[in-house]
Amino acid sequence: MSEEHGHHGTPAPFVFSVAVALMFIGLVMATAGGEDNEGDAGYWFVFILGIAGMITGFMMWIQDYWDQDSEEGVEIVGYHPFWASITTRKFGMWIFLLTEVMVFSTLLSAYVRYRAAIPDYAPNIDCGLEFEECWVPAADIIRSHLIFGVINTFALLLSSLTVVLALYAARNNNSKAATRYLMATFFLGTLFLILKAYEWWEMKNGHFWGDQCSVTAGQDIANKCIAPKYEHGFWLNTSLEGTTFYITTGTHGAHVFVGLLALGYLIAKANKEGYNEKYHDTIELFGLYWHYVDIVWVFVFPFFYLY
Amino acid sequence: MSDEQETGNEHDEHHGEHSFPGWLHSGESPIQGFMKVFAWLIFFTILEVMAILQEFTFGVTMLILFGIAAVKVWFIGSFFMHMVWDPPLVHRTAAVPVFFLIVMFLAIGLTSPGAVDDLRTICGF
Repeated sequence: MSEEHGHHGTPAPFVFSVAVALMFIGLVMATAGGEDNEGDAGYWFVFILGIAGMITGFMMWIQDYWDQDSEEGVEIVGYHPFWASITTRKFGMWIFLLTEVMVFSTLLSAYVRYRAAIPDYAPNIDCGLEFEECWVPAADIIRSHLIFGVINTFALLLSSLTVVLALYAARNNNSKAATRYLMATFFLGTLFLILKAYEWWEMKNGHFWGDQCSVTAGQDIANKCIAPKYEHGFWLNTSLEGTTFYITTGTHGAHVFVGLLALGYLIAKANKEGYNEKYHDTIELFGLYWHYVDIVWVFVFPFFYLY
Repeated sequence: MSDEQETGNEHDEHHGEHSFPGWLHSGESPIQGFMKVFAWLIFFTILEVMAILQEFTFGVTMLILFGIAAVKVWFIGSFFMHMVWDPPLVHRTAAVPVFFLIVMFLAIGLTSPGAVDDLRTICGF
């Protein structure tokens, strides 16, 4: 282990976490705080402070690990086999992923709860004039353009593979291959976000369904005629369907974006041959996060795009 | 309480070559094994797209979607996330949210319209 660039702690994760908390407090209070719950503009300062803190923490983190060239090597060792040896960093990453499981579980379970309670649109059901009594899922709107969701699914699954291949390339002292695989992962993640942004734009502006239908002449969603409540587009505040769809897919997209930021650091360091047979744990830890993002999509895709 | 100590050699031993189950037929290289896992993931994705086109009832649809998703999660967790080669501590840690998920989905089921909320009836009495 290099004495100069060996294991050492860093306050960066703590700084970053506090900043994230500040950011969210500022965002929530600025948009929905105050006595009237309409938002308290003064909290935008707290939000900006949080963003600045996140950038600072991220830069600190990069600075602390940029020159590290040896494993952390610090493992949890206990007096009982229950605490079998894994590194503290890996254990910490798993704890973080568990919290993320609860985040997405709340979003998905809220969606499932609504789907169980509100009947899906059917011709023999009285859905009200605006179809407000029925659930017209985002899947019905997306179905005509499902190819984007399918491409996104393949992209994320493939990116999980490329992350694993990057790890094994680093373990085999093949920096060039590791860099290439990480760049491929970055490209696939970017493709995912671009397609998602395109989908959002088209749905928000009502471009995913045909113009041949008349909202007063009768609806036939099976033939892509749109429900009245989506006449002016499908957005966050259009209906419960829109809220659940955009919040869930948006939260997932935000996680992909954060992953891309971390990937940028990994690519830069891999490019300078910073990962090798003896030091590649960071790629593995990032891989855990990225695979988790993929796992979330494994649930989001069928429940929001197919059903 | 746990002590922490540097274990360079033990850590290196952890990273030996990973062997895949026989049914994955990974050959000599673990890369081939991961490629085959990827192929299985694509297969199950195609399967769920085709399944949803059949338009089953809500219950059957949920069963199919959750079932295929669980299989895909198993593939990703076991091989891509290396859980099949990790020590039991990782499995136990990953299992912690399962309890909370069960409670959450039970609560969804019990609070859905028309759901039975009487404990005796739930238990079959």
